[in-house]
Amino acid sequence: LHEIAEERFRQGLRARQGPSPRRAVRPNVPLRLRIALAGGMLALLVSGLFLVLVLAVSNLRATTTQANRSKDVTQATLLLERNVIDLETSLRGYVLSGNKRFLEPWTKARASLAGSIEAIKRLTGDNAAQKRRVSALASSIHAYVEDYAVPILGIARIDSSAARAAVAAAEGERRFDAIRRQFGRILALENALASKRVASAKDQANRAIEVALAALATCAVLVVLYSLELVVGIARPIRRAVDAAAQVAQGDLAVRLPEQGPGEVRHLAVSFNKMARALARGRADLESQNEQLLEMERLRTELISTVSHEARTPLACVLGYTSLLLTRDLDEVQRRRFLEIIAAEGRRLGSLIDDFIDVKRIEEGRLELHAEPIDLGAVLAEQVRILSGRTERHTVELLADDAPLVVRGDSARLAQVVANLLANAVKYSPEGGRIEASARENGAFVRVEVRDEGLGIPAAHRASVFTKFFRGGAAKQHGISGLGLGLAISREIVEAHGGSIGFATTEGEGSCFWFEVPRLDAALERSA
Amino acid sequence: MVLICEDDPPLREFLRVALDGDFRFAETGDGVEAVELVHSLHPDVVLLDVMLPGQSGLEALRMIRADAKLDDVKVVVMTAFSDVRDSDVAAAGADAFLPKPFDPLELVQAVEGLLARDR
Repeated sequence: LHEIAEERFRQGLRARQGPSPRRAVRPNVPLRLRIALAGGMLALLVSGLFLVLVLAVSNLRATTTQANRSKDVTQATLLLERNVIDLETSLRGYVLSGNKRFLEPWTKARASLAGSIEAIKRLTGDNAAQKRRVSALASSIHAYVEDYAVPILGIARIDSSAARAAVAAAEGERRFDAIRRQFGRILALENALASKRVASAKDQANRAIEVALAALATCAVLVVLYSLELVVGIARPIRRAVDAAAQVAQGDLAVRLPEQGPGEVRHLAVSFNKMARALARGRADLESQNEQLLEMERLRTELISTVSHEARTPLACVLGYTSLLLTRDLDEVQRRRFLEIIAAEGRRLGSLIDDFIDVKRIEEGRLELHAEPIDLGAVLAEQVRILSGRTERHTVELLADDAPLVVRGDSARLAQVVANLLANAVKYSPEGGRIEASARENGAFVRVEVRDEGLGIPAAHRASVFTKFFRGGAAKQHGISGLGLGLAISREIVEAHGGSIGFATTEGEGSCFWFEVPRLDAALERSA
Repeated sequence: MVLICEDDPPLREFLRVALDGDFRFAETGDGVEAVELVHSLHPDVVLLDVMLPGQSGLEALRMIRADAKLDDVKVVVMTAFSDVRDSDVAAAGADAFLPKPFDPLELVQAVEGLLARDR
């Protein structure tokens, strides 16, 4: 029974799983790989972003350095201009005054001239246009010093008036103005360069800030996405599993987890569901086993009570009448009658034991039949005659063909079946009434029917009528005695004869029990 | 008068013989009829089997005890059931309890004891 239940359960399970379309599962990457990949990608992205940021900052620094260089160039240029102005002023002062004291600035300025030019050349080396202008300036200054100032000084030492005339001829002024224009152009260009570099530096700074902000925002979004993935992919399923486990712990074994998610999470759900199913199955098995055990225990208790009652009733007669025979003065007629009763009650006890032994034989599959050709009609008639003598409240009517109804069977066993059906008809019509017993040919079978006008069988009990030790609710309610073995034994006997047994019933109106066994062919009987 | 309520015919006869003609008898094998007969015949003693068709002896006893007019009717409960207890029987209102099987002498003593107490 247990195995059948289990098989049914599996069938049910299969039916439920059925051919349902499988959920489209995305390629199942294990969780640990997914976490490692996501972490690695995040680290890579963050490093890339920082690299871009570092590049932007170093770019900014380079631009700032260039802007600072422009300041140096301007400063150096102004210093050189100061030098050249000193040269011109000092030269004029000396030539016009003849006073040698005026030559001191000339000497000092001339000494530092080469260094100053060199400094500017160095600072402007990276800009071709400026470099060209500086070279032109340098040669102009050189020409001014060598071609004009030094010869004038020479003339001044020899002839101061000639030198004054030369100065007055404004050759120096022209040269000096040209040099100052050159200075102006260099400074203008350097200013333009400086402002361009400052603007570029500002641009670079702005871009660096933008890049930094973009990098930060991207990092933030990535971190949020990553933690969302962790929450959705891991934390939430684990939370679900925890809740489900708590439900299982509280005894709800019907709870199931959705079998989805990445690798280990899906495995967790699948394993959890497998566990829950196994637990539910185990519990269902235990419950059904327990129910069976309880039912068996109930039947056993009831059986003991019924058996002891059924045995004590005839025993009470045997002991009671024996006691009367021993203690009372009785006439011969009474003595004889009491002894007959004692014998009958003894037989009743015996048949009780026979019923038990029959059940045991049937259970062991060794019900033996002594088959021979017998007239089932005669068997029925004999049992009806015996019953009629025992009941006062019922009228028993026999309807049978006159012709013999020959079957091959065990006459004692078939008589037992007939007697049982008749006894039931009496027991289950406690108000009395008509009992109709009939036997007739029915195709290849002989059919015996026993019809009563008794209690009938409620629908709920019909399926259990042939179950051994089963006694309907009416038996208890109406105090009808018996062990619940008669019909169980009868069915075994009839089926052992190759026949069948059944009934039709209407609750409150009565029942009709019938059985059929194969008819012995007349030809076969003649040849036998 | 003794009313015998017992569904097994040989036992019914045994009870009648055991009490030996000192009494008038009425008999029934049905639990419902038993109550009706107690009402109509008003017997001195009722011998009441527990396992009766119609309704059980204990149910019949409760119905008898529910009627104050029947207070003087003595009831002896008999049963072959091992799980019917003295206390159940006493609670239902029985005057005596005889578990089957019992000796005819026990029956006579029980019935005569009840009748003597009455006088």
